[in-house]
Amino acid sequence: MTHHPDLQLSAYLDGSLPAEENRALEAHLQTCPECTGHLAELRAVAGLLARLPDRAPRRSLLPRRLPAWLVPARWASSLAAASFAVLFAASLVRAVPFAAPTSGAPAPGAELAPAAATATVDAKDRTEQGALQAVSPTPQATGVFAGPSPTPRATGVARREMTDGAGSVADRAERTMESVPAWLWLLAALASGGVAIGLHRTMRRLRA
Amino acid sequence: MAAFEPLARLYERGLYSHACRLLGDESQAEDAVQDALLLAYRGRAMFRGGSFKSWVFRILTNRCLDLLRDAKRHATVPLDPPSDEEGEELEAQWADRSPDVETVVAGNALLAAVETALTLVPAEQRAAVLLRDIQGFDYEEIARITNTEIGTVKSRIHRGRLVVRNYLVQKGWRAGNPPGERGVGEGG
Repeated sequence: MTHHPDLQLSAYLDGSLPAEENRALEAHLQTCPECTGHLAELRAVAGLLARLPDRAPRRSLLPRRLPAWLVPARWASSLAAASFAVLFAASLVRAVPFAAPTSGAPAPGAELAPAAATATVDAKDRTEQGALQAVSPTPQATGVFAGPSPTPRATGVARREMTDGAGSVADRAERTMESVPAWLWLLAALASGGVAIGLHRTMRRLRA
Repeated sequence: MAAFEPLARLYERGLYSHACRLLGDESQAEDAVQDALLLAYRGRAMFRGGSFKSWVFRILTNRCLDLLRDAKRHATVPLDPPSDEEGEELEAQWADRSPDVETVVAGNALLAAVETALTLVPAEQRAAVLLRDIQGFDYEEIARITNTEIGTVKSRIHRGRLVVRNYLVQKGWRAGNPPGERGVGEGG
């Protein structure tokens, strides 16, 4: 009875038989039409399998990576939301004990501290004259520093000059607070808070 | 990630097709590929050169086979209709290779029949056949990917191809007759 080496046919087809077995199988194939037929069928099947097309996934399957800007953007928007919320709260606190300032009316601070109000007015003057004073001090300013007994106004100016930059920033912040209505701070806080929440959700979705 | 992403993108479709044919379910295949790529990305520091394709297919194939084993453990109906023993019976049907119905299945219909035939191949044989005939791995690579001996790989590939052949023959296919058919190593 002839032995048909069926199990070796696929390995022969793929060139994975050891040399000796390969030679023996080739010798057998020359004399066995049945195995030659099997080999032709296996070759055809392997060819059909090789022709199967790739399938496309419905979505990207790559590991998701957070965009580099996302984390700092979320922190920045959160910080902005918190800052605007604080400004809104501060505006409310300022508005409660005093009547809301109207255009042309003196600033609330002026009622309590005339010297400070003078300083504010003076700071305004200085702002208008800004660059000029920085380059060459006006005679008025020189006189203030040189005078033996400064007037209240001059005292305010001197105090402002001594506190220098920090005072100017505080003044500017104070004026900004007065000029911007409270609801605008609230609006800014809500907007930046919304952005922060949106970015947070995006990060969670990408990490899921 | 810079080197990983282009490689992962290059093999994404092949991996998905492999998982689809192994698992027989698109959603499961997507999840399996995503898991495999994530595992590969996290373990990229442990990748010591060699073939990235072989490495990532190894992760995916093992993942899919694990899923199939889990499903089989919990299923009431066997997922692999013909077992290895049944494969031997199919092998014994060599003599019966002249079908009664002379239906020539051509073009896409023939490839669709091949896809159907693949679903009848037991999972481990199917993995070996897919890795060999579709992904083009050699026997040694397949043995490494599937953690088996080369002898086992030879046997699985042969038996898997026989199951496909027998199904096609039942559907009226005869080697050499269908249009567009070509043998291994004959181009493309």
